[in-house]
Amino acid sequence: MTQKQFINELAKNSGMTTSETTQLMEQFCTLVTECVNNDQTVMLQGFGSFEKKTKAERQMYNPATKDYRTIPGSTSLVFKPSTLLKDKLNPQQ
Amino acid sequence: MGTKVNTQVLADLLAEKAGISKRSADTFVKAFIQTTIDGGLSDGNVKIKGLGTFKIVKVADRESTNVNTGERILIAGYNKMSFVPDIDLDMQAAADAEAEKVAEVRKTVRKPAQKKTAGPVAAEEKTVAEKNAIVSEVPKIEEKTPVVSEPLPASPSPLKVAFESNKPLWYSIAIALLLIIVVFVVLLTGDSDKDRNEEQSEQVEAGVSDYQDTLSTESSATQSTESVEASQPQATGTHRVHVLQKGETLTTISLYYYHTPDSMRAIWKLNKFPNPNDIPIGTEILLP
Repeated sequence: MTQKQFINELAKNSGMTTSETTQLMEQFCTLVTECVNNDQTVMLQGFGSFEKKTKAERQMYNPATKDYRTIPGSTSLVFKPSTLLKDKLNPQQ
Repeated sequence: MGTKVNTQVLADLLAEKAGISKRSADTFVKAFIQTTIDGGLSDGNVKIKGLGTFKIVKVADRESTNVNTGERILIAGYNKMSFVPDIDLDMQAAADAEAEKVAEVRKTVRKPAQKKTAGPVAAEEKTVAEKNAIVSEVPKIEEKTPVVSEPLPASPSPLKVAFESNKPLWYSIAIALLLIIVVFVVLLTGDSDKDRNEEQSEQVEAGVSDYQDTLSTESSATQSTESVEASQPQATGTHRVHVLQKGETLTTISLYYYHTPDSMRAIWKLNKFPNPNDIPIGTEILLP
């Protein structure tokens, strides 16, 4: 599903116009990233949670070149699906 | 992790930010969740710009062994939702900082750029007096060039300096060399080439400017060899130095600096290690 299809579907479900939905969606995304950046966990009931995950700096060894490289640490956005979502994805279980 | 932001709080924040009612924000968030799940179930993946891509991945059935009983058991397959973030939080923060920097740099760069553009215009608008000054400089160079180029046609500039500083010495050397050549020619050629010898002897007597021609050829030959000898130790002084770390070999160093293991022999030769497999850690290795 592309962004366009998603917006159209979302507009249908929320009962708003497409342009309104596009604007709201942008604000929603920035809001989520802002919250996560402030070390907050965004929990959406029945869906999952968005968290910030910090990856530490590590050493990498390339056996082909026998070269050690340091990979810098990074922080990324991580999504953890909730049990409700898992149940929805696997209805037979 | 810090505080938790649940659906209700997020909807309230969104309502504040977007300037809409809390109810519509709430319905929007709920619709977002519903649409994402439905989209994932129907299409398999949902791309959301600015957030990431949700993907429903099917994990196939797999066999495993019960450790206690040793029986083979089948673990049933299932669907899982994976999420690939569209943005790196670090990158986003860095991008924001960079955007600010770029804006600052642009401000600062624009000023000199304007000056630069103004430069050529100003150059075009130079007064006639300035142009004349430039023109008057040109003949001066032209006057100098024949003097320099005629006596030393092929010699490099350091030789000229050396030559000018030791003029009397070089003249005497040149005359001595010329005399030696003349004597050699006389001895070798004999009577038939007497006329040529006379011409050469005339040249010796002719004047200082004529000597410079021959001198240049002689002096350039002698001095060029001197300059080559002098340049070699200078070149060794410019070698890069690598301090040997634990676990490194000449081959790894060669790969690191030259992206080929073949330069290992060149490094070995340059440093004159008796045994390339036994170099103490911390040795400073010169790089060719």
